[in-house]
Formats: sequence, structure tokens, C-alpha cells
Amino acid sequence: MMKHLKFCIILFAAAGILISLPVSGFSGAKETAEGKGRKTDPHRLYYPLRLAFTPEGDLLVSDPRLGMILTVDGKSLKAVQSFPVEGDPLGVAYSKGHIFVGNKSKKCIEVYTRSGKKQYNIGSRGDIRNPTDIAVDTEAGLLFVVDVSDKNVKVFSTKGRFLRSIPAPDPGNLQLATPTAAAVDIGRKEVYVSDYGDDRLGIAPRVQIFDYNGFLLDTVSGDGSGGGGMGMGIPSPRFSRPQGLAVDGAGHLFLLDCFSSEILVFDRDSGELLKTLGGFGTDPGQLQLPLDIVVHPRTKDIYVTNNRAAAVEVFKKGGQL
Amino acid sequence: MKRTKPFNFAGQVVLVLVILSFSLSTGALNPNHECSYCHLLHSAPGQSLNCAPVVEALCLSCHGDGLVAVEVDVHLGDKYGTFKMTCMDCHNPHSDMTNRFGGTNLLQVGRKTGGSSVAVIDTPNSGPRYVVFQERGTDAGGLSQYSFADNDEDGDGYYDGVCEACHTQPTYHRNDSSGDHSHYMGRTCTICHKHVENFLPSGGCTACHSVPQDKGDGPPTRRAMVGEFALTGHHVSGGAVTDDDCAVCHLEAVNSGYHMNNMVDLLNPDDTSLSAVVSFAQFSRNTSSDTLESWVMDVQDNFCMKCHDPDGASASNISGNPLRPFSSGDRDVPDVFSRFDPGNSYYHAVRGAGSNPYCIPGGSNGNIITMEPPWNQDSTHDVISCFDCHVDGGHGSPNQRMLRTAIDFDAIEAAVDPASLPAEGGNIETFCTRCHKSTVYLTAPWNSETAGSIFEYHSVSGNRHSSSGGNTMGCMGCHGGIVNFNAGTPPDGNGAARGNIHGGTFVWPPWTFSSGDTTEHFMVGGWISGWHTVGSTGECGGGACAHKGGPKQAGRTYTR
Repeated sequence: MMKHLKFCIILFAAAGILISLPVSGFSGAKETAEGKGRKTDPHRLYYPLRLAFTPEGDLLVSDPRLGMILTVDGKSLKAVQSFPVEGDPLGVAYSKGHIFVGNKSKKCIEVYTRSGKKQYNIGSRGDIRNPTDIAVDTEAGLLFVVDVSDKNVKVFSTKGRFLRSIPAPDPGNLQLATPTAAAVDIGRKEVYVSDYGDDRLGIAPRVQIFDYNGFLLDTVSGDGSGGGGMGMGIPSPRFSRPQGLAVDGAGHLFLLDCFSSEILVFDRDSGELLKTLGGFGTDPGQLQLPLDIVVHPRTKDIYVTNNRAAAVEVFKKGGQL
Repeated sequence: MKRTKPFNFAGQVVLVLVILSFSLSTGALNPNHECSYCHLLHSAPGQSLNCAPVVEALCLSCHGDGLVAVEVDVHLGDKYGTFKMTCMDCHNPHSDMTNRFGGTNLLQVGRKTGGSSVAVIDTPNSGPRYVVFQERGTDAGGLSQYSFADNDEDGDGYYDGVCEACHTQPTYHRNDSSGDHSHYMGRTCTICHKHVENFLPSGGCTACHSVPQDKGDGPPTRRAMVGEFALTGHHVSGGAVTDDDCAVCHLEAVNSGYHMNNMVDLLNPDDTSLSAVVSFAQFSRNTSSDTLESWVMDVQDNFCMKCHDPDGASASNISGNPLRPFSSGDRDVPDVFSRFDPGNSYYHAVRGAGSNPYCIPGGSNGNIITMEPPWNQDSTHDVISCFDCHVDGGHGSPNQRMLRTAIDFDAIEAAVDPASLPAEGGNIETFCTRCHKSTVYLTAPWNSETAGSIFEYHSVSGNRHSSSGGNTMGCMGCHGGIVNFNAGTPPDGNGAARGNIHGGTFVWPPWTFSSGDTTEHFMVGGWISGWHTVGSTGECGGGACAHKGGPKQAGRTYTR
């Protein structure tokens, strides 16, 4: 937005090397939908949490403090529509005209129309306790619900039938410790789950990659070692509070570390950290407690919920590698 | 943004030692907080915290909505100044500190600021203040922790509750003896003043309204609401009332801008715009007057009837079923709007004046007054409201069906024979005779043209329709269709006429005395088998009535 007199433009060399430069008067690299206003304003963000794209490229934003799902215009980054959710809306996803909302208070997934009319509930018989995030594979008709209290990801059909839990009940699978968010790669049929880990159990923060049946395929570890504690003795932790994550269908994983307020981009197969964006702070280009991320499949723009700034931020073409 | 820092072994060793010594000096490290949760132990010296500029972002990376721990937020209110309290102003993340009495504070409340060796909070206006926030035990009952605000319970003249410690200007519970210290003494402040809501009064509908509420500016005050939903008759069936249920009816529950504005703002259950359709300071119906108050009509027409109609609360998104708008509904909303339709063959006069001449003194009624005050004062038919029969509290009542009179409908409906009707059957008379003149229907000679309504073959001394003599069927044995009788008859027999007391258009089924006839005068009671009007009189089939087991009584004639 024009009010940013100084900004950080992120340039990429052909080899994908990140260079950060302060630029005066530049207004195109990162824009902000600021929303720190009264809680009663239905078109102002207060505590933006999760994100999802609509087919038009707009963004659905859950705001549990407002108790609302807001639609943020993908270009202006202004909230243009909202509807109330009774309870605490956490995860949000979109599929075929339906908006899926993880309601912490109701302990279920509520399904709304675009206009906010509630249609039906999923998992309201005690199947879900704390639905912090939702990912959806529209083609397969599958809904992946992260339940941090149950320490798993529950898979439902989009019609509401419970199918299975992830991880699969297999002795070879490491259990999730503190799962917070999920994304799906519909091409690879993989589920990516960010996990805070558990220091007391010696489980490092990580992203675990499962197939749709819940079998562990790979792990991207926050301590860079693939295992062990994230604390003393392990050099150069790469992330410690993994939150929202996204994939671009080209083998890249975009992960938010809300501790460092960074966007980390990993190579799916090698686990190599390719680049970072953001960083903690209030300056343009910096974030404060980012919690969710989506990457536009065509423009490669990265959208992030910047929680403490009560805003949705966009990193123009930040997903280009 | 560069992430990796130069590896400086000496610096790390120093840093770790500093951290450990600090932790040890403040007591044992809180077992829920590992060093590495907050400290980057292998970064350059001086960069132990990654999110130091805004420490609550660090705290909220775990303690926030959608994250992994309890929900918290900081004290952002600026009503009494521009200061902003953040997490570490009140909490020491390393340990639960010793307080000035030697006890251990909970939730890491208190810091070692101002040179104190025990827990204090460095306040905006009062400097460092001792703070006590420890397990209370069972000595006082109720609270498991104190002191949010205890009005100097220990009597040492020092207000050391965690809320009181800072307060110098709020109305309640300041850190000295000034102001009001009686505000909800003995209750936990954070029930209403939630941490997650920056301690603003926002504890949720059911949390706060489980007790009477007074915001300190005089009337109107609010009574305790939650318990009303547990009374015998109540809205929200099938479970305890929730905050979400409140939002079905109350705008305050979805828009805090309407909360505590001295008005009750009700939503239109059919409108998704979330605007107030009815607002009032306090609601009541004066049942000793036949003039319906404007707010009564407003609530009835724009609120009650918007839900109790064929499409229910069509705007409600709580349950997804507009006919069961509350979160735990186990029955559909009764459609009384349709039953009150003046086009029906019988109806109580809610949506319009009635058509029954017996309820109007004069004319064809022979100047017999058949109504009790205040409904006996006009020469035209009065209009009544929902709240002349039902309580005006709205949430619940000690009486079934939220009526103004106690009637055990459940027992009545369970009876399969008039002889087994409970004594409460008589209470139906008590209920009906709130408006309908009791002496006319209960004590007049059966053949008296001047006294009242005549029931041939049902004498006062015999089978009058009173619980005090004869059978005990009461008014609804013939009128209103509440009684469920005649086991073995098709299920849509008379018993299916439940709810007809509001009104309806009932056609007698083929197996009844008056097969195919549309009944009038609410003659759809469970103990008769038919009714049809003949001129100014009518004929009744006795049905089960007092003749159960014998032949149907065909064609008894009634003069009115």
C-alpha cells in the first residue's frame, strides 16, 4: 500500500539466491490489510488465524477473537465480507462452494455457504476436539482436520463421513506430538503436518509428510538433524514453532515459523532450506506471529496472516523460485 | 533475511551459564517451560530471545488461539491511560515466585522488579506493588485461587490481589481502600474479565449471567438467566444453555457494541443482518389490564412469532436446523403463528379479535358475562397476547410449557382413561379460568339459561367438567386437544390435536362420530369422539369420555 514509504523488495537471482534490499517509495512488494480495530466491526481483522483461497483468488480468514470468517479481497487486501461463527473458528478451508470451519467451541467442522448460511456439521459426535487447521483435496473429496488435542489429523469426506486418522495406527509410525497445521499436495497425494514437537520427549519441531492413508513418508526437522531435541546440543535450529504451511505442486514446501516470524521455503525431497522471507519486526516486510500461509498457484504471491499486526500480508511473487 | 548466526562457542557458554544462574536464582524453572522454548541458545550472545521486541508474540506462539496452550492476551485497555501491560509485566516466565507471605504464587504471577526479593508487579501509577496469587485451599470455599481481588481479606491494609495491585482508577477493587470493593466478592474475576479479552468484561453470556448483573449505574439490572433454562418449562430443550444459544435471540451475544447498553436487543430470527428488531429496557406484561403494552406486541409480533412460525428461526446458524435453532434442541419449534390465524375455524385471539360470541357480553350471548376481568369490560372481543398465558421471563418457568399456571401436562398426557387423570387435571381449570369465568362453566346449573354454558347430561352434581366433582377431565377433556386417549385408535386420532389450544382447523377423522366435520369452539379434546355445530347449538360424540368401555354417545346436544 502507498503508505509504505520504505519497503523491502525481495529479488531473486536465477539460482534462487535471496537478496533483501531496502527500497524507498516502493509499494508493490508487500501490502497489508491492516485491521486492528474494534472487535465489533465485521470488516476489520482482529486476530487473523487461518487462510484459504476462494476460486476467485480472494482469501477466507478465520478470526476466533471476532468469531467470524472474513473474506479478504486478494488485490486490495481489504475485508469485503464476513459472517459470524458461533464459537471459536480456527481452521478454514474452501471446496466447491462450501466453507469448512473448524469450530473449537463446538468441537466440530461446520459447513457454510459462501453467504455464511450454515449447512451441516462434521464430526459433531465427539470426533473432533480442537480443529486448529483444515486442508482439503477437492478432487478427492477429502478433508484433513488437524486436532491438536487428539494429536492427530482426522480425515473426513467432504460430505462428513469419518474415514481415518493420521498417523495410521502402525508401530512404525512416529506419533504426532503437537500438530498445529496441515497442507495437502493433491498431485503427490501427500499430507504435510507441522508439529511443534515436544522438548520433554525429545521430539524436535518438524514437518511430517504422510500419504493419504497416514503412513509416514518423510520428515523435515526443525533442528536440521532429522531428530532429537531442539534445544541444547543441536546446532542451528531451522524452525521451532512451525505453524501454517503450503505447497506449490512443484516440490516446494512453504512453512511459517511463528517464533522467528519467518517464511521458510524447503525443497520437498532433499529437505534443503532454499530461502527465507519475513523475519520478526514491525517494519515493512517483517512479521509478528505469522500463523498461516497460502501461495497463489499462478502468481506465486504469498499471503500470510500477520497475527499481532492484525493483518493479512502479501509477498508479491514471493513463491517464485 | 539471514537466519544463521556465527557460531561463537565462548559466547554460548556464557549465555547458557547466565540463563542457568538466573533460573536457579529465581527458583526452580517452571516445569512447563523448557529453556529452548524461548531462548536460542546457540545464537550470538545477547540474542537469547528471538522475539524480544514484542514479547507477547513470543508468548503467544504457544499461548494463543489455535495454538497449543491456553488462550491469553495482554492488557490493552486504554480507558484509564495510554499504558499497555504485556505478559512479562505480570508474569515471570522462569518460575512461580515466592510472595510476601512466603507462599508460592501460581501461574508465574509476579516479578522481581523494584529491588524486591518477593513477587511484585511494577504498576503504571503505584510503582512496584506486592502481589499474592496462590492456592487458597479449602479454607474459604469456592475459589481455588486468590487473590484476584479480595478486599484485603487478611486485614493488613495492603491490597495485594493480582487485579487490585495495579488499579488506581477503576470503579471496583482499587489497590487502596477507596472505591468499591464489594463488586462480586468471592468470585473469580476472570470468569467475566477474561484474560483473552484483555480483561474487559467479556466472560461469555452464561459465565456472567449465571448470577444477577448490575453494571453500577442503577436500573435496569439483569437477573440471573442461566438457571432459568433449567426450570421445568424453558426454552432450549435437550441440554444446558450455551453462549451460542443466547446468540439465537440476543444481539448482545453477537455484537458486543449492544452489550451493557441498558437495553435488551432481540434479533429477528428470520433475518441474517444481525440487527436489533426489538429493544426494551425491561419486559413485563400487566395481566390485570386488557390493554396490551406496545412492547408486548412488539416482542410478540416481531420476535416470538418470527420463530414460532412454519419456517422457524430461518436465520439461525447455530444448529443448521431452523426448526431447532438451539444447539441442543430435541423438538421442533411449535408453529403457533399458523394456529393463531383468524381464518382458522377456532383460534385464541392473538393475531386478531376472536369470533366466538360467547366471549363477548351481549348480543347472541344473552348478556351473559363469560369472561373474567379484565376481559369482561368491553362489548367487543378482546385481543390477548402470548404473555397472558405464558410467563414474560422468556427463558424459563417453574411451570410446564412456561405457562403462568402449574399444570402437569406430562401426567395428563400419560393418562389413558379419565379415571386415571391426575389431580392436576383440575389445574387446567385454574389455568383456563384465568380468563374464562369460572362460575359460568364450573358451578352453574346445567340447565340454566341465565347462568352460563350448558352441558346436557353433564350436571353439576354428576359428571360436571370439574376436578372437584364428577370426572376430572377438566376443560381440555373437550377443548384444546391435549389429552392423548383411546389407545388402539389410529395415531392421528384426537390425541394428535395437541397444540390446538392455540387454534387450528381440525377435521374429524373417519372413525369418529362426526367424520369429516370441521370442528369449532376448540372442540378437539381427547375425550370426545366428534363435534359438529348445529345452528346455535352443537352435537358431541361422547367418545371415551366417562363412557369408556361402552358405546359411543351419539348426538348429545348442547345449547352452547
